[in-house]
Amino acid sequence: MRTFKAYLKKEVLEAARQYRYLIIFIGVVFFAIATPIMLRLLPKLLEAQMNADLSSFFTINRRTAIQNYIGDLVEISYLIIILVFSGTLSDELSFRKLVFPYSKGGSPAGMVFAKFLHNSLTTVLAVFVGFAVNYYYANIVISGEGASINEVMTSALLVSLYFLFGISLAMIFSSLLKKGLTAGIVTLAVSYSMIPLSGLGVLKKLAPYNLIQAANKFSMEGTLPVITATIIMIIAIIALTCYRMSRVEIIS
Amino acid sequence: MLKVEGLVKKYKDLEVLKGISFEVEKGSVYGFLGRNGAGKTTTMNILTGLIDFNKGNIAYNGKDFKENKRGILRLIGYVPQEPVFYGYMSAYEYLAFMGELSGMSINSIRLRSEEVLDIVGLREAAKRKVGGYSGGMKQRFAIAVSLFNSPEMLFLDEPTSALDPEGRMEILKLINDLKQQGMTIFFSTHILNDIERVCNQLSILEAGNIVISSDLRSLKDKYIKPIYDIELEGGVKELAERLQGLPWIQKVMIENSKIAVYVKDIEISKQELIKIVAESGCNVISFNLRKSDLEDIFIRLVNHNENI
Repeated sequence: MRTFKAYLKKEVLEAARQYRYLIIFIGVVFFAIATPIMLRLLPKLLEAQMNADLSSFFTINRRTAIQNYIGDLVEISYLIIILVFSGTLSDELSFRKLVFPYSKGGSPAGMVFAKFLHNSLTTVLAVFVGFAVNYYYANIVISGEGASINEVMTSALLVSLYFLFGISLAMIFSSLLKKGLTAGIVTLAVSYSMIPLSGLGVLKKLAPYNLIQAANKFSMEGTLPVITATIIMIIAIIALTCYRMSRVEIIS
Repeated sequence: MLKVEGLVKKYKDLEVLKGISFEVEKGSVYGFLGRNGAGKTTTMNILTGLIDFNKGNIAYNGKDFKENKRGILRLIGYVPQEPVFYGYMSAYEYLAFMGELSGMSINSIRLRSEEVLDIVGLREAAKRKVGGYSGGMKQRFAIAVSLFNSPEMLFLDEPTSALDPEGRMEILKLINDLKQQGMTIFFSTHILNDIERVCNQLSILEAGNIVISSDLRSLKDKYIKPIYDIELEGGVKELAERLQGLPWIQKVMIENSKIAVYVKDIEISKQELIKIVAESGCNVISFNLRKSDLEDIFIRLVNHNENI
């Protein structure tokens, strides 16, 4: 517990000093503001370019604005978050920053839990703020059918869980690979390669990417299997990361 | 206090430590001497829980190291050769982090921070980011960190090798101060002079093997060269002839006004030789027992040639 507490404080200090909070919040909230505005301007921009009324080709309402934001979150914000957190263990190992904490009897599991909790809370907070901002702007900028705040927060929850799965993947690859960037690229490769697989057989119900499809529907209906499977996978990955960090040679 | 038996460390097929054994007594400053690549840092890293080992036993105060690793590590301090900190933290912040890791209260952290920063002379720089410290300051701060939880035993891995002469003297003085306070120190280095200044026990490590483990005094007594150098004003030949016939003298060599007397029995020679020289009536300019330093002993041992 003492290692957990010490590392939790250290992670907060590190994220603040290295502008990680700023990067993540910009990476998440920027699209929350930009997406509704872009959607509003898109038909007008195309009309000016092509000299034709294209509005009938687009269905733009508050609901689609939020769905577009979910798309941006998964494609771009996810990448930013993974790359920010992918060095969380590899940097500590390769730059030998764990020599003092480990030689003072620090607990590897305490450190892993603190890092995961910190990174998760930061991401979940950013995602919920992003959805709230997007909901607000979508209601101001765009008219038409919308989603209720409860529906939007349901989507935020599902997207957050998907992001937590990504963060856990980044942590295990970060404990296995020497460079944070490599761990980030491998995490993204694994995440993106799971997208086409999520439509196949049993994976249709269990693959974490189905959380995003449910988020697009603003509904938790039928999501119990995928939520359960994702939580089990996150726990298993974090347990493996703890095991790896308790066996790893700090100076190799 | 610390007992190491048959310690083996392998990296794939390369055996870095080949079954080394030694024992560190409580309150001693134990020198771990060896050339670069001999296995000193590997031993240090094993003893501080940073890497695992393949065979052997380590006992700390009678407790098995592997079984009680976390508990034992809370009783020791380690200063690595190249200490790395979280550079964005100030010295106070880093010490607070280490204090929390050791389960200390906020008040104890505050008091102890001032104490250890005073010991290493970094109090004025305590609010600066550690990343901006010079090499010597980082080394001193590493000692402050290692001392923070008041450890029973301190491991120092070549703490002086990257320092300028002034910084080196400061670290050696600090080790001597800690020695006076009764702390047990395990000190690895390839600088022989540092060992002679602060250690009372030592092991010499060569290519993964311990060549010798001894206390420094016994080692010097054992390997001391039993040769007396005497410089005279006249009467050199007469004295040499007289000495040559004595049973406890091996040989006598003359070079101008100097005589080198090789003795078989150092104890008899200590009592008798000076009397004989005095009785000869020659004017003595100098009379010295030729002492070998640790460098001689080290070279003789690691080259497996004690007759050098």
